[in-house]
Amino acid sequence: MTGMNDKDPRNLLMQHREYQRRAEALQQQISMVGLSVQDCQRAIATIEGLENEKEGAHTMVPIGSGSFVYAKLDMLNKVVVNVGAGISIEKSVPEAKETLQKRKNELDKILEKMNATLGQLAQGMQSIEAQVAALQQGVQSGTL
Amino acid sequence: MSTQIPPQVQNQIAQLQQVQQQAQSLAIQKSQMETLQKESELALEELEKLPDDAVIYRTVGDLQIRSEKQETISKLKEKIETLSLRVQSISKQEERISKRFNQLQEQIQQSMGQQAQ
Repeated sequence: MTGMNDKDPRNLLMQHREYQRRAEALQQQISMVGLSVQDCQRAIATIEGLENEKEGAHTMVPIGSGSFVYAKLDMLNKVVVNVGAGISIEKSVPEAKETLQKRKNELDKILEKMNATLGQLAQGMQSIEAQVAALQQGVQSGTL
Repeated sequence: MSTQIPPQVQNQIAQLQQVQQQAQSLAIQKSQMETLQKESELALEELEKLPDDAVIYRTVGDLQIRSEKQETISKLKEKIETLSLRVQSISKQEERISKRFNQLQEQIQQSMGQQAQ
């Protein structure tokens, strides 16, 4: 956020555009991280929900396009968790919940930082808008 | 405006823009490779903590295939090595592109300076 004292309207406009571009890109990233947080939360809720179910209970497995095939629940004391790079590891229910909770906490922290940066960019844009408004006022009062 | 710029300088500016696009494309590629590398390193860390008889699955297309710990670890190490080499190669390309960018920038500045005189 340097160069804020620059009074050249063209530079101010370029800075404003750059901040806007960065803010839009950041907004997109925030949406994606937000979806990952929701995904984590949904997985934790599913694991917790399954704790009340018995082995052999009837369920349905999604196969896409809103369609399902029938299945029976098995090995409810185990959860297979993706750890990235195409690798999944079988974990006990408490371990799986802990892994997912840690992941969610990390994503929450990232989201917090991103929102703070977005706030700074918004402030930067507002500051430029105020400078431009002041310059316009100066020009108008000079011509009157 | 463009009619005042000599064709030679216009050509240099076009080259500069092309080089800039190449640099942006390389930066994106490098960032993607680094992300994959980091992800693989974290997965490797997780795997190394597990006992040898741990149940592990590897994604193959839409399927999850049961795999042995040691085999998965060596495949992941190979993947990290390949990604690291690609990152190094992109970094070298970036250096070359950066030099070319500076060279063109200087040439344009000189040409514009001569034109102003």
